[in-house]
Amino acid sequence: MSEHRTTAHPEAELASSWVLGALDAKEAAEFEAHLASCAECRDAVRDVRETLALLAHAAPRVAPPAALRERVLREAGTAQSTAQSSARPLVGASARAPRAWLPSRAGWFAAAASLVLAAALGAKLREERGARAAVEGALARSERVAAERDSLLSAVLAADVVTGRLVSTGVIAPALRVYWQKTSGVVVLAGAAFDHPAPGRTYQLWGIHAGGPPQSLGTFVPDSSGAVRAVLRVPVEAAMETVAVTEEAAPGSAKPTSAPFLAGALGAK
Amino acid sequence: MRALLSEAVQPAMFEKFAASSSLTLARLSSFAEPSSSRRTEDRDAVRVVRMASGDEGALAELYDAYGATTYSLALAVVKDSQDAEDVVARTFAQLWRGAASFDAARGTVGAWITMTARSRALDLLRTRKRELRLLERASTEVETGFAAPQGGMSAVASDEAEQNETAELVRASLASLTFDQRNVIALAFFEGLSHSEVAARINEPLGTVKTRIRTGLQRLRAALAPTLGKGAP
Repeated sequence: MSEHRTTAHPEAELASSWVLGALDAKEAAEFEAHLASCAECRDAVRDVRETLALLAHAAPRVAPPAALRERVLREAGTAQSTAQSSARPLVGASARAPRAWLPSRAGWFAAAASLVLAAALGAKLREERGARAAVEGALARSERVAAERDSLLSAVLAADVVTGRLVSTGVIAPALRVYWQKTSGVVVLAGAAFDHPAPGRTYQLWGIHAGGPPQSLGTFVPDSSGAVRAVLRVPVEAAMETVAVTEEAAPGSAKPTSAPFLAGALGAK
Repeated sequence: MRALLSEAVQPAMFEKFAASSSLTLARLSSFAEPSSSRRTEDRDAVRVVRMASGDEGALAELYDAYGATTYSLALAVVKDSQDAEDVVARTFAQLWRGAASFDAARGTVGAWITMTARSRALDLLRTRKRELRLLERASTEVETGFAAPQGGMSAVASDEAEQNETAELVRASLASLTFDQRNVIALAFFEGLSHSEVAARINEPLGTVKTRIRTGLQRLRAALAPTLGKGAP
């Protein structure tokens, strides 16, 4: 195949760029419209695609994990929709819940709800004179660092973000803000004053909707200064009104194994 | 917390291979017979037809032939082993679903698999970058770093000798391009940058970038002609 074919008409020069995805939207649309009626350009596209595909061999060759083969065969066989396969569970689906010491799911909810209530009451309490100074001092360390990030986030995040502030009734306690952009399923955590979990343990975030079972949203650990910065992903159609944090065995648990030490309600900004 | 992506990715992917390849182009033609690539194409086309009638064994055969190449490509783009696995799974799922409507006139199965994997990988890369931007706003300091590809760097099984041979040919062919040509092609292929994004990254005019990509690919295609089964260009 000689070069003169590729310069026979101007669109032919765009074939390689189009296959690479390097054209801008307008150029790409025009080229695609042209392709529909031009066999020569379709041939050029095919030839470019064959050449480009071989570039995959230029990547460092790494053997895939053995389990991937089984996963590929399993997923193809069950004909999952792309929407399903895009929500990668952040906690290993095979994680088995250790024996829970809570007597019942209701007990767990009660603990979470009382935290939420206590947090709301605690906030009210802090506003009252007298109580404020004592509590403020204790909260200063954990609040201030989180507040910096709070103002940053509040200023720039989109209007469709709901936020939640999780607190504990402890005097010196971690503070955590959750930012959930429903349209993308992205959940951003910004927190401070977290103790590092013990070896083999991790923190886990749970979402609760309408009294249903707590759904794991993912796990996170603080950095060396106790700050938490994490991005989790939840399904776009997820619904939850309350979030809570427990400490679990790494890499996370299918169900919470202890009462939450942080909880908060999600609401519009 | 997942390792975060760095914006400052060096497209040096090709350089070490171009420099270290022990093959010269003069010896390439003795390695590749046009007929061997044609046999591969026919074999793969039959597998797609089998898949269209629900033969999962055909899917397994295609995975065994192209899984490592696809995974390596995905890993080079998304730089996270779990994400790379997701890309591979989505690619083969898409192949399975689209088997009945696969049009052999539009190209080989191998090229379809590779370019589909590249598209899925770039989609995921963009998603992760969006997440990173959101996180960056939430933090005054962000850990960045070139996340080295994880996952086993073990030697590839000997029954993938054909893929290894193709890899050597590709790397040797890349040596026939100039550094500038390899650079722009790597940026466009592995990072999915548009012309203007490439131009901004390397600080060159847009026209220069377009020409370099085009002539670089022409040269690459000429060098790979034996592998592509087209004979002399």
